[in-house]
Amino acid sequence: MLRYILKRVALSLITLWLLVTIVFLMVSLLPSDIARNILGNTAPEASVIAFREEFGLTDPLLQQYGRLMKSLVTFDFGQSWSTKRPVWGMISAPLLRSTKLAALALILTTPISIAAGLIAAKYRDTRIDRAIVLTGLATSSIPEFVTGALLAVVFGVQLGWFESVATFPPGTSLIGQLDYLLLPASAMAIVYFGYIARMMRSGTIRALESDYTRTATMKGLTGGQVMWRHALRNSLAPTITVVSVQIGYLFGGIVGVELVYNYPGLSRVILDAVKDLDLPVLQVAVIIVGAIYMITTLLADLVIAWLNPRARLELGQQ
Amino acid sequence: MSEASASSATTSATVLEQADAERKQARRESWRLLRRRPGFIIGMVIVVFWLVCAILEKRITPYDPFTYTTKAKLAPSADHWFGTDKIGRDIFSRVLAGARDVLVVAPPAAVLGVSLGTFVGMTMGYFRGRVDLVLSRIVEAFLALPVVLVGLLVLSLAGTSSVLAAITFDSRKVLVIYVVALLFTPIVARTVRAAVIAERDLDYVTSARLRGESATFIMTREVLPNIAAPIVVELTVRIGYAIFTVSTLSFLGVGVQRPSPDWGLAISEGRDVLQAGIWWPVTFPALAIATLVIGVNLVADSIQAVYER
Amino acid sequence: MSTEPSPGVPYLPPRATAADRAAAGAGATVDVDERRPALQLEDLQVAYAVRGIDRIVLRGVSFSIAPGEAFGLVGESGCGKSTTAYAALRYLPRNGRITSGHIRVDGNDITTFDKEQLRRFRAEEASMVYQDPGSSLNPTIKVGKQLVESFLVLGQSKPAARANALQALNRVQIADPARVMDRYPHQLSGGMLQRVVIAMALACDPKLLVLDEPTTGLDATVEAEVLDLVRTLRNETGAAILLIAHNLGVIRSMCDRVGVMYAGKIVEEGPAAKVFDDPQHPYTVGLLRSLPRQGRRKGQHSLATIPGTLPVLGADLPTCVFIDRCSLASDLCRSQEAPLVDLGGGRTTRCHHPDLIGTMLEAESTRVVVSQGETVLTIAGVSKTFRQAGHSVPALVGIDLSLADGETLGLVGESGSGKSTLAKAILGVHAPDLGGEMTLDQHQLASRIGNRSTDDIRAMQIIFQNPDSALNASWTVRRILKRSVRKLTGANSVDSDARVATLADHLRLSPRHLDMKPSQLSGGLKQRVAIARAFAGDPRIVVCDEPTSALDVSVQAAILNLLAELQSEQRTSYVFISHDLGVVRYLADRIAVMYLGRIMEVGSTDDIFGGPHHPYTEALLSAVPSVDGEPSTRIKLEGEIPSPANPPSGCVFHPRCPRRIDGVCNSIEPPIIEASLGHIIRCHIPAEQLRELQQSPASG
Repeated sequence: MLRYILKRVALSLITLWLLVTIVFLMVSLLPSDIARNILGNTAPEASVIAFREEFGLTDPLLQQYGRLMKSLVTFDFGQSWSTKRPVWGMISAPLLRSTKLAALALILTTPISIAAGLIAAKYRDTRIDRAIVLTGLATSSIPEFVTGALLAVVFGVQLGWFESVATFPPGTSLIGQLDYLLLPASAMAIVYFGYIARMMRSGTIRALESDYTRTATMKGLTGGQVMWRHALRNSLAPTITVVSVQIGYLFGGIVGVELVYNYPGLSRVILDAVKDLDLPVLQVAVIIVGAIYMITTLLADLVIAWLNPRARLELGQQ
Repeated sequence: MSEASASSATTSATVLEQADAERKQARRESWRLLRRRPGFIIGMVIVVFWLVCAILEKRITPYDPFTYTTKAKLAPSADHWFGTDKIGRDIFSRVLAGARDVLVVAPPAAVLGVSLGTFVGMTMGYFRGRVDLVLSRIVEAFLALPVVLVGLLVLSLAGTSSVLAAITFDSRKVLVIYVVALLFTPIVARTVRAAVIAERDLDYVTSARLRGESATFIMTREVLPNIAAPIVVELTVRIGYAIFTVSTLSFLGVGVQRPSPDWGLAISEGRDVLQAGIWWPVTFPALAIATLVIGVNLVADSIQAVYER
Repeated sequence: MSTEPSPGVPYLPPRATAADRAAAGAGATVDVDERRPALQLEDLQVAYAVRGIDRIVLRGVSFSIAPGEAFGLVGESGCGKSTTAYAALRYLPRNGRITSGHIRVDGNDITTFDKEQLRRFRAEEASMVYQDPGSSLNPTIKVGKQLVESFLVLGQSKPAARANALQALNRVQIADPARVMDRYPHQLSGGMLQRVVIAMALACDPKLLVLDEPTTGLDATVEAEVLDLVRTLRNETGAAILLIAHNLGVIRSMCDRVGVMYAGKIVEEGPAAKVFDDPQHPYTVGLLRSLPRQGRRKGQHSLATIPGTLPVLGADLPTCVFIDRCSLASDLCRSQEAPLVDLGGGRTTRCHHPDLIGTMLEAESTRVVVSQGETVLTIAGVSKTFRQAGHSVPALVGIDLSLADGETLGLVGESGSGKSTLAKAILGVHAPDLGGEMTLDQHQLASRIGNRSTDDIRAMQIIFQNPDSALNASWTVRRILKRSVRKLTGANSVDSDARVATLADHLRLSPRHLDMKPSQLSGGLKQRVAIARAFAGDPRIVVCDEPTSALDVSVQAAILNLLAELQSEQRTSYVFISHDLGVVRYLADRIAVMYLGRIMEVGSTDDIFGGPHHPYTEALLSAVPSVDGEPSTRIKLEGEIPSPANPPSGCVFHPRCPRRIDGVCNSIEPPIIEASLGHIIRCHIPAEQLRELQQSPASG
């Protein structure tokens, strides 16, 4: 088991390295004048040259790459090219805010989606089932920012129940923050409802149709016992995988939602860094988002292994 | 023996005719089933509606979608069903015309992405070993980042170069097509790889090797036709995601540029007046995106259900 | 013999008498209670809804089983025997429903039960054992907990349930119950799991025990142990048994009475021994004659086949269900439903012409057995080691074999014996380890298919077990055959079209089959296409990897006949892999017995069956239940087949060998002894001594 985890972590590190390298190559090889871009068209030539000197943009690529690797390995992420502030300082607070929003979205969506999936599977091919499946299909196909915009219009602007701008004043209590965060979190929750509910439904149906639930039924267990003791454990595995992947992808959808609600999360930082070709900030943002994906998928695999001893065996052999 | 077999041949021929007739009937029936699915019909109606809008564009819009015709920020009324935007353009006309931008970009991006992904996935699945290992790492790296984030990155970094201009025919839309297609490639590749691996362990592949067929022949002529169904399903699903991605990129300001009536762009533009209670510039394009993606997904879901039957 | 006059008269199932059962000689003598039947099906009809239309699968099934009696249902796939088994516990797929009839268990009509009554009925009165023990147990829950559950359902306290579970495992002869309780299903072998499932089934001391193909998929020696166990337990519990099996030998060795099913009806019923020795329905006659039994060989008999195919699911069959395939069919049969004829002695048949059964003649073979010529293929010292999770797993160890022109070499052995690996090594699909040597017609063969010459590729082809996976589903039959002809013979398009036509004709595929895709063909036809493809380039050697084990017996017979004919015409050599000893005996000239990647015994078919045997061969032969009911003394093997990754020291068979010599077999590799010319045994016991030990040969 430990060997497996170490191997997975090593593979993740390789993937992260690949990611960083791809971003580095894109920024360096695509024809953009970074210094000119950051300083603007009106900046005097001398300051542009000075900027290039300062950040070593005229050095050979390999040397720039070496510096980048060193900064990542030493966890000294250096300073932003555009704001000249330390990268970590720029990123940590927005990251925390984005995480808060994402966590709220997950807390809202996971239990409801799993319950809906179970109900749909139990009442398969009835109207309840079709309603859940169609709702899931519809909500999961609409982009987060669209759902966010519509929620803001209805519950923020028209009904005025919640704030349609998520920038809460400093010092707002956690409960008070809910007022601001509920709409953007719901926008994301609604999108993930579809994915999770559909997975739970198909996983449960597969479990209910399996030979071992037949055995359990033939033993004389009640429908509830068959569902809770025998089917659920097996049907959770695919759902856990989906949830974990969605956690990784939450940070994709969050960009649009944060923009709609003017929420000071990671998206602002990323959008600015992208506009300025601020490589040091971009690199760290990419690593963070990639690392979250990898950690959640690894955790998911471990949970599945804990639930299912056969998966444990397969993990050991990988 | 031979007599028994002869009679066996005739009886089995009639049985086969039966089976054949049943099969044909089943095929007709699956088309009928498809048409009978309310989801399929509703989805088709929506998709066809937007397709007509995209094709006819200015010819059916009540006002010119690109020029301001009257006062700004008018609320929905009999003259302007969806109101006017902040520079006085008719939103109803812009929403109808906006279908063109997304439908010109998203389906080609999906087709290109699925083609590239099929190629990469088949390469990985067939050769396994080192090729698979290296490609899998790269695919995994791409999968670790949300599609929208990478799209944002690539589209903003893609400055102006003569090479880029040449391969995109100087069109932002073509660039978006390329980028979305590239982003879909690893996802499709993973699906196709799994299908190929399941398929290549079947005995007909061994049998092809035992008559000395080349790898290319086995992949393109033997395996590819057998994984066509999942690829078609993947394509329909990808078209939905392409619309999703393309409009998100427009919303983030790196897709289609102004003054296009693109829906994502329109929501982005209408965002800052939302606080003032001016809800219509955001609402109607948002509903347009929602209906189109739901329509496409209803169709995709029905096709998938019928294929997997 | 009296014919039931009209279908209006209610049918009363015949009851077996004690005398019948004694005559059946099913080994076990049980006190059969003559009170009300443990299970009684009355005119049961079941339909499956397919695309909204009800398709009838059971067309009025009636039979009854007395308490303590064992009743078997046989028939080919699709006849409805499994549906009957599940219906007996009122468990039907979601689209299935009972359209009419009654199911009485111990007098209670379970078709009227509500949910709770049904649950209690399943918990307390009836149990089931399933086909695939691996999937019948929940993979995420420990075996012990699943077993304990069966006792908790009866209202027992936790400690009592646990104690009973341990005792139940003892009862099914599991050596270390406490340890097994703590295992997950994937950690146990198929045989062990089936014992656990049986223990679960017996938890409530059921009145009715339904076994649905309980040993299908298990190895021969394991199957024999499970069947022994069921026999013992049956004597202990007195439960009525409904056994479903496609293997007629299993039914004969286990059951007092048997029902033969066809297209959703029982066509013949009676004491097992009598039905199998003297069948009275044309279908039963055909079924039994298509089996390679009583030591038949390809030179003496061609196997009988049943013409035609099973009617499609839910087809309308207003008269006799067997009408389309019956050689006795008359105008009467075409116009009226077949009556149920009481033949006396507890036997019934559903036929208009039971008096004509005796006129159904069996054909003699006119086939010429080719004389064996020069050696075509030699294999010397071939080994194959797989790498698995960092361990090396020897799948083949030092194989020496030869194959003559026109000869059939049978390869037998249980799972993990390396039969298929050997076949793939010969074909160059898996390159063997360095050091071994294979020669074809005196020249050395490259180990990998990619390095072989076109001639060598052409010389060796294969027929796979499963034609569904072996034929490309998206190609037409014509394209499949033509591609092979062109690629293997290098013929141009016109010539290969002609060759495809000849091939198809030869294999009795009609021209219209050529334009179909495999999914439109029946299993037997698909296998014919696969054979045609193998013969496309006039191969010297064809490897047949279990070519008939996915097929029903009547289809199997046609395929075996075809293979024998092709061989006698073309002098092709076969390497024939099969787990079915009857089939191997029918077709093979020589047999190699494999165990854990090694060849334990090679010899002519007569030598292998006549003895002296390697102790493993001896056990294997004695494990097979015979449809002819010959008495066989079973040789019990201890333990389970070891993992090839970790083979035992000395002789690899020693831990399970009933004749092992302690101190020798476990440390020293056995020598090769030559019992007679060409009959080689790998054993420490001299051939003469083996022969004495095995005085009573396992079968005649």
